[in-house]
Amino acid sequence: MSSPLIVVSKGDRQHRQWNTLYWGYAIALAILVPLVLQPFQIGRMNRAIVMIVAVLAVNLVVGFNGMLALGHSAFMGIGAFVTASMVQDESWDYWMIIPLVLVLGFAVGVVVGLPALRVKGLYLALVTIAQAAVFPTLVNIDELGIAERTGGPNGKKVEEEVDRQVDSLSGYFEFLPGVDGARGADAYRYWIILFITALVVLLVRNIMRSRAGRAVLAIRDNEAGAAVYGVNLPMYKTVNFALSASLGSLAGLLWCLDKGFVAGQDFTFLLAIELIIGLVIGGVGTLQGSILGGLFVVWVRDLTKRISIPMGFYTLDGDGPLSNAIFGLILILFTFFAPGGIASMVTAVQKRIIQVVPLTPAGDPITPLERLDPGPSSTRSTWALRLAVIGPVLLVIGWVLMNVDNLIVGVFAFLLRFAIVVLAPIVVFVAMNERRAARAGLRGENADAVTSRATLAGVIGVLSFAYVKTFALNLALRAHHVTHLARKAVVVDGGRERPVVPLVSEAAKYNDFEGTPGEFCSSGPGGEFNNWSVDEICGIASEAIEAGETPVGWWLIAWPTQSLLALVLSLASVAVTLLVGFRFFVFSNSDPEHAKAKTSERQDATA
Amino acid sequence: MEWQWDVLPQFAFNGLREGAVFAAVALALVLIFKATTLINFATGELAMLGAFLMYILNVEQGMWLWLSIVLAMLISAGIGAAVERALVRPFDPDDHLPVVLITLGLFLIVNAVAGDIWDYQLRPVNEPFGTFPSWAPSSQELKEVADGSISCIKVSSGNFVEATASAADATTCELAGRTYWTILNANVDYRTIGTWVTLAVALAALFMVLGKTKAGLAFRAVSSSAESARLVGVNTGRTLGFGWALASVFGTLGAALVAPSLNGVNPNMMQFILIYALAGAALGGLDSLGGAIIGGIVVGLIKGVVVSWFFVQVMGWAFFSILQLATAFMLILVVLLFRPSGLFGTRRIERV
Repeated sequence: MSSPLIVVSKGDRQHRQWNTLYWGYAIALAILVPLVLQPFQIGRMNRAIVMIVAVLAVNLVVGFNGMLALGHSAFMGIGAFVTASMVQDESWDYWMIIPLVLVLGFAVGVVVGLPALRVKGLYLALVTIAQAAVFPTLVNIDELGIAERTGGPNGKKVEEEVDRQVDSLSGYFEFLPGVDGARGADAYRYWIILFITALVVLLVRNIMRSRAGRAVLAIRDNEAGAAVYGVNLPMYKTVNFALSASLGSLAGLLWCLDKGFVAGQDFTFLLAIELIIGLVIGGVGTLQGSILGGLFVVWVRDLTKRISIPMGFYTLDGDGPLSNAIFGLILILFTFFAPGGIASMVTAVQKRIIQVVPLTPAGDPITPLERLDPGPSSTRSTWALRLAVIGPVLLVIGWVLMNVDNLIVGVFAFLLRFAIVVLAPIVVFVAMNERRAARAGLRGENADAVTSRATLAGVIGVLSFAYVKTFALNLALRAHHVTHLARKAVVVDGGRERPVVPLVSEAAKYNDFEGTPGEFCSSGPGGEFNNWSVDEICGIASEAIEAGETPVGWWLIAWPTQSLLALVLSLASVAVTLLVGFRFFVFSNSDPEHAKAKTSERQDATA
Repeated sequence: MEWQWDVLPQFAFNGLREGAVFAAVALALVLIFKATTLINFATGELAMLGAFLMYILNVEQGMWLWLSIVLAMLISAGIGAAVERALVRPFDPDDHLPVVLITLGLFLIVNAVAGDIWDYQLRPVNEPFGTFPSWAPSSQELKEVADGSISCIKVSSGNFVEATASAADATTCELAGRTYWTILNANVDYRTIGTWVTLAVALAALFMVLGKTKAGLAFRAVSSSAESARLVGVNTGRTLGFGWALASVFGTLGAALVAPSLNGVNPNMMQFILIYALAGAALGGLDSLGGAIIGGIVVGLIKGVVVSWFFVQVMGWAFFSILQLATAFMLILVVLLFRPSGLFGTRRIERV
């Protein structure tokens, strides 16, 4: 597959459609994530998003300016401690602290960065690594009331304050499905953090496109050259570093908002290295890389903690110091074999599927489309056909693997099953593209073969996509049905009826159980929750769910409105995909004049 | 404020002893910087590994302490050279990011694996100088006393290894357990003097190797200009490996010498020392061997005299004992602000 499957010119309508689809899916996914996750998973997701901001801050210096900053844990710590102190001791609102934290981070960044950035070389790495090592010791100083404000070695708890503020504000979100109780507070925090993170990402993206951002990039690429063109090196480097420091402090604020507890030992050198690892693994110098890297460090650490491989006399246990060793190994392996990180791999795959051709200033594609076209002996339709078959095959393999009781295999199996949702639309689009090309005469004598293969691929793609969506829809409908039954199962609470299933999930949360309410019940918890025997309410809930005779997971019914939401989402995604696929790729012949012109050119050439 | 001149020599001697260790680790940093223009952030962890090798050979295998130190130095020289060959040489030395990432990864791996094998606990080591047979005969007597009917407790409190006795025979025991000499009203441990002597011998050996041997000449040539050295037929790669090996030797020596003062070896033992050593190397100039030694000793003196004596004792600001590390950080900032190339480093001028 030497040539890409789809070629679009930049800014073309087709290109915009792809972008809309891509970003639409990504944003919708990001916003709706808390509605399908367990509360403890939402907490982890919050942590991951906080890490995204922090990794992005590091990226600003390391990736975009080429300087080595290894001490952002200290900036995060400053932000977190200032926030904790202001909220707890001064009863400030989080919104009021944001500017304070930004300015403070900026100032500290200037103080640290200016001496180191005046000179060329590794000096910033030297200073920042010392800063990361020093910071955790500073919070213990018992002069000037520092230890009182930071909580000293015991850390500082602000949970009550967070909950108070979250409770008063999350009331505005209660009209949303699935947002109530403990889950509501977590989801509310998630959306707040996500919103701020989105703003930060946009900010960094726009800065890098501005004059100042270009100067920063120029310094990375050639310091002497940038200086010759009049870039004030120390000024730009220091301001960039200070900006990065203030974003790091903002990440600290979000950390405090998410965790409600800050302690000096959370902000050690190891956190700084974790940020660097996220940056490298995501991809140095790209925005997507920071996003992927932030998710990576949190979720992969979560995975490595569950590794436990018995090796004869010795058990390789990921839940100890070794999880750090695994991270170190990943860092070295990535540095050796994939210096561009995951982002570059994604880009490489993306380029195989869709290629964007740049435009001339006049607005024409620079390279003629057919130059990139494989021409008459098109292999794209063959590939579309292969992809169309691969999707269902992966689905079946994933289905089989789901029966293996192992978390990593489970995640892998889920990815295999999920592949068809991505592959099928691609297959449909490619097939439509090829059919259109063949009809326009761009496939020469092989037009018939191309058309038939593309049609077959398209049909398989549409059918498999429809099958998966129907399955999801069916599941959602049945879940909705069970939900109705489950909602009828109530216990009486002081004359008021309370649905029993959410009660069970609250009990699980109360007992700090990390897992679904179903797992909670089958773990045989015993004990009491709000004057009810836990076993009793578990029994009532299980009975109600089993009456539905549907193998639906507890997670779907634990929150009554969720299945409805799943239904709406499923329908919406089908509608969007079909709309985009057919409206733009089948019925509209996007540029007949252009295609005709090309055909006649080709005929002229052959003549 | 009360000038406590009488205790000043004590703090100065302590500072000088710590400074000797910082100097050894700073030397390890500078040797690698001269070879590959890179700051090896795993220096401390490699040195910690060397100290654990010493621990295994001496405490677990029962080998003679000095032999085990020398063996640990040789083995870590091999490890250093192997790390350079396998992990550092494949990368372009002018591009700092990948190589620094490699050293950070190495830092994590060595620290975590050591933590997995030996736990993050202190493991006591033997005192190299207190029990040194020829010039510390007192230790022999200590045993006899301890074996006898008089109970004699060996107290190890931070810097001092003393022996106290039950009231019955305090004087005998105190004499028997003496591990220090009294100079200028200060108790100077055998350990302090031993550290200086050992470091001085090691430095003499280093300068002999660099100045009188062919490998040393090659190292100087490569650190002066790798490209020119290659043109005149120096095997650059092997020379860089040699530099890393030398650096590991000095790191291990520093870790082995400091271990008794930390009451044992522990996977995190070198992390703060690395910061002091970085400050020392920055102060002396990152590419100056002599500068690293002087810088390390000055940092030790600053820690001992300025922070522990002046601020804590004289000014009475107890919280400054927490700020020791912060002082090293401030020192780095000040050096970069006023003399970025350090006291003895060469100024780098780039031609475009």
